[in-house]
Amino acid sequence: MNRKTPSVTLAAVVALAVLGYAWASEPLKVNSRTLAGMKLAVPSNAGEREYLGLSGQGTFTMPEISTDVLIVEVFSMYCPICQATAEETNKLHELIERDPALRGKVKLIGVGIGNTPFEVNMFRKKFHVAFPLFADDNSAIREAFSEPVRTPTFIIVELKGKKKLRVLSTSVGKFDDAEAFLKAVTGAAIRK
Amino acid sequence: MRVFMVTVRPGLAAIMCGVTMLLMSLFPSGGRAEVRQPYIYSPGELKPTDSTPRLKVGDRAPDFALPDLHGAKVSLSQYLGKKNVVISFVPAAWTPVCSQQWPGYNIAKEIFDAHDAILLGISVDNVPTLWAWTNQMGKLWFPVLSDFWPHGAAAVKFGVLRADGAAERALFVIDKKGIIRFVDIHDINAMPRLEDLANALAKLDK
Repeated sequence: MNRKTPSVTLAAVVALAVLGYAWASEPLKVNSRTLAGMKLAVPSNAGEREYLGLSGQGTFTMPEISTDVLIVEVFSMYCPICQATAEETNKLHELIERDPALRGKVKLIGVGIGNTPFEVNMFRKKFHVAFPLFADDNSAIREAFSEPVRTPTFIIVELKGKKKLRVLSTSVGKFDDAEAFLKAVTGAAIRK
Repeated sequence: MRVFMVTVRPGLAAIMCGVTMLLMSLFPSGGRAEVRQPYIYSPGELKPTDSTPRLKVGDRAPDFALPDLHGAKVSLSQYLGKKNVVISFVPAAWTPVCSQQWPGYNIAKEIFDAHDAILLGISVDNVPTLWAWTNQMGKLWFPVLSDFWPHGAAAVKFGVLRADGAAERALFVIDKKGIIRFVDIHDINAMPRLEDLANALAKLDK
């Protein structure tokens, strides 16, 4: 035994304890293939179409969005935590758009689970949301979830070509610091 | 401890710590612990409606006076000639759908304002329960009234008290003359669509 052993042992115990907790609570899984197949309405707003790199009308799927990494916020107009998170998610969007290294490579959308376009629009107006929000009136996105959907859930996705995507990580609940969240997102993307 | 000292090599420990840091960084605010869902009781799928309707569009709305959460009594008749009134009965505090319905209306004040309407939220819970439940929704702009005692008296007048003592998920729009202009005794398991209420309010202006 050398002198380093106690600290290494402690680190190992802490690491195992935390990992054990993470495994025991069975973290949410979001199925990449189901998410990739989900159809969303092409925005009627030209600015939003440009942001997403889409053209035309009708529907599209997430892999068609021109970006490397996509952050999907699953929210509801009716969810008080989503309302309380709106300011930070707006800030997250601004941080991405202001950073030349991230702009165009990391994009953010919201999917309003169980919400009609009217309801999504109410949320957009109330909180001045500048990134695209989509209505998911039939709650189709829940098909991709391994458990009942809790809002907000943030899904970090790596896009692979025009048809595939890979879910890198998920985060359930409010985040308090957009900068820290963004660092975690870009970290996850870099470590992929 | 001995086990780790014998079996865990420094390299492996470093990798584990790295993975741990990665996990922690992915959940910067504690992740799932932030979600309030654990407080919400799940009653499962319920009979969509479980009461006998008593009122229809065109009827005069029955009056009531119920305590709000600040010690005052609020009556329907106090709005006569002054405001259109939307009454939102919800089944019970701390249950699904209800726990989101009023927060939704809370960000939709402009729709009510546009049609000179006030919203009254009513449930059969007592004041302390309603106080605790609505406080975690954020600051609500509309009065929340307790129809607890005599139990569900207002709900009975409106024909929305269910057999188990909870209220229906019901919306009534009442104009300034006290006449009912819209009734939606909704499936208790589902959220009424906001645009349906907005459309009903828009019709008041005609």
